[in-house]
Amino acid sequence: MTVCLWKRFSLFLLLAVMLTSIGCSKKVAAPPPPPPPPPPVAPAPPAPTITLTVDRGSITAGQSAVLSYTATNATAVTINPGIGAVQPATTGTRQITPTQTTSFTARATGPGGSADSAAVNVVVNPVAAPPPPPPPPPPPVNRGNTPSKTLDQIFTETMVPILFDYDKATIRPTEESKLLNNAAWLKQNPTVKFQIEGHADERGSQEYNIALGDERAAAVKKFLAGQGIADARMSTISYGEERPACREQTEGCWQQNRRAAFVRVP
Amino acid sequence: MNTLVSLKTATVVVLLLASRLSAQQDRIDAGIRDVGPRAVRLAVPEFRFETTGDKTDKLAKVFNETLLRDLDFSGNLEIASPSFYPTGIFALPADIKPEEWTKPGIMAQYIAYGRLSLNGTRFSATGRLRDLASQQEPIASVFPGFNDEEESARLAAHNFADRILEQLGFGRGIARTKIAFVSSRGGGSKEIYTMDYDGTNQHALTSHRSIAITPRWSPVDDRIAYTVWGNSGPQIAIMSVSGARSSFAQPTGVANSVPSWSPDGKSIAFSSRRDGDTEIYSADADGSNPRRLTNSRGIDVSPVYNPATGRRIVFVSDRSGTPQIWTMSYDGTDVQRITDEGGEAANPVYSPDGRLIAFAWDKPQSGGFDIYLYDAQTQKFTQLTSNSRNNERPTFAPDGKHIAFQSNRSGTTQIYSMTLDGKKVLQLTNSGSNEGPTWSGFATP
Repeated sequence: MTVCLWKRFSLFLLLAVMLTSIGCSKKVAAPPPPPPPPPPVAPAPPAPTITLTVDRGSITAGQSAVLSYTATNATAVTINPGIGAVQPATTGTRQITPTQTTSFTARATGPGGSADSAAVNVVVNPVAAPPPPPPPPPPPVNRGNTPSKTLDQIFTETMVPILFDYDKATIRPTEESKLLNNAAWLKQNPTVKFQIEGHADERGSQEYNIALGDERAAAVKKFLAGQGIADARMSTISYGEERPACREQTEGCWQQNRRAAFVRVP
Repeated sequence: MNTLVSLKTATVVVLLLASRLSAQQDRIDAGIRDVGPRAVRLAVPEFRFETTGDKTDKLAKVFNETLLRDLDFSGNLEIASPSFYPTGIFALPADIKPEEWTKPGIMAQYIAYGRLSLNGTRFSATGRLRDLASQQEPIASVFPGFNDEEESARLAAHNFADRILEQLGFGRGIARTKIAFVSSRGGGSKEIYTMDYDGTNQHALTSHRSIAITPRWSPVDDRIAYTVWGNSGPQIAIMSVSGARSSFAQPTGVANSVPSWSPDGKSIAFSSRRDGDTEIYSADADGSNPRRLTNSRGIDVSPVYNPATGRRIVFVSDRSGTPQIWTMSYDGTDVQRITDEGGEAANPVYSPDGRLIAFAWDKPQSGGFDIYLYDAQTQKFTQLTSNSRNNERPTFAPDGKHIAFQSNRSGTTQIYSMTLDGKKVLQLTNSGSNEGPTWSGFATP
């Protein structure tokens, strides 16, 4: 038995303070190009124009926004960064899920030349580690018709593992905020069912660790039930020390293995 | 631990009387437990076939190696060094000249000799044991195999070795016993395997492709109870040695784990969280009529019946704060604490006579688990292993004189065996990772 290292660490995610908004004062269209050299017969084709707008100028990481564009006299429209050519070349929308604050521009190209839209900024706020008492409302799911993140991905990102002290199955205070956040998200997504996996680090005996993992999973289930999560949505399973997240013999790795992890079930 | 001092029985008694007054660490017996009567010195000249060839050479090698290992590992015999043996062939009684085997350098009291033969496709050994003082031959028998493969040579050697040990008064030999264990050699999953007591003949019993651990032989060695992960987590399973499953009633959604048979085979003790806290239960061998034996907040696991009486159960409980060894009556009453020096204790098992408890102990500042013995009569502890790694999961051979255990001393977790004095250490496995040995009884099918 070794002394249990209380590695107390607090994870502070800095809420990013918002950038100054950048004015949208640029001209919408470039000046018309100079007339082409004297064409044989045909008149000069008209110059293209393009506008780009966004439905929400500020989102939380994981959420989506919708870009809308309208072009004239264009045979091709591209939106950058990260989207490229879009169709049709007249008007359309694109759902985006930027992971960081991004400035989008659209370019229309046609026989009469090309034109750039004004830049459209989408500010992305990081997911906040909530201050313990009231967790912020979690991001809603399924905004738009085709979210680029699946529910499974959002589940994985939101339902982070709960860590335990050595040889303990009690929820330590530093982990309660995580569980409150999990509970809030689960309330927002009432159809999600899940299994709570209880794990132990490799120390102690294999037999004892089966029970320890079982008690950890049960403790998390009990906590969530206390937050109003229906029993029928939750199941528990102990893996004892049989499914470690890492295999180094260090306190850092052991701490990662002393966990209750969440797995979404159909 | 380096200097092991043998304590005579009288000393043990004196220390027992004194132990009430002495400090706790004085209860650690630095000494050796005698494995049995004083060693007998035995000469074992090589067994040979009358004709040689690739096949017979190989069979002879397997027979001779197996016989010597069996006799040596018993811990009861001193094998006279072959380098002083006379030259020649020693197959028949007329080949043995006693004075050649009792002279200085050999000084054997007995000689085990004989010859090997292949009758068609059937191996057999003729084994003789001669008392070099009286010139009596208490053993002169044919030890047949069942084919012309190495397994027949091993079987014949095992049978001869066991007969020698029994004849010389060392009790029933363990050469034909088996060890069940857990191996992950097949990849990510853990399956139950069995092997002969010397590490040969390793075979997978289960093929769950999941996690199967904590095997325990039934009292007559026909079935193995173990823990296997299903969809709802750890559950108790029972499989016959021929691979037939039998059912065990248990609730899902909570861990039911680490089964152990009562000596009459009618009950199985195990751990379960079915009532909201991990407690020890006993049920009929099909899981029916579960009876709760413990009732304490915290974790109660790893129950093992006293195989001699069936009246007591040793188990692990953290009711005092950390996992420690406790015993209780088979009905859950009369709970007594065994280890009380802090640290963590695990994996308790009774010796076949019920007097000793072997377990793994990670004492404070010890840096890992080691195997210890607790003697219920003297209330003293004896440390059997000592190295910087973990030595865990002891299991008694049915002769009560040998222990198998798992250790990661070589870097990977492997299974070892040793005599009860911590000597004759043999590594039995080396393929993949192997753990959780459980020795069969004498009734190995």
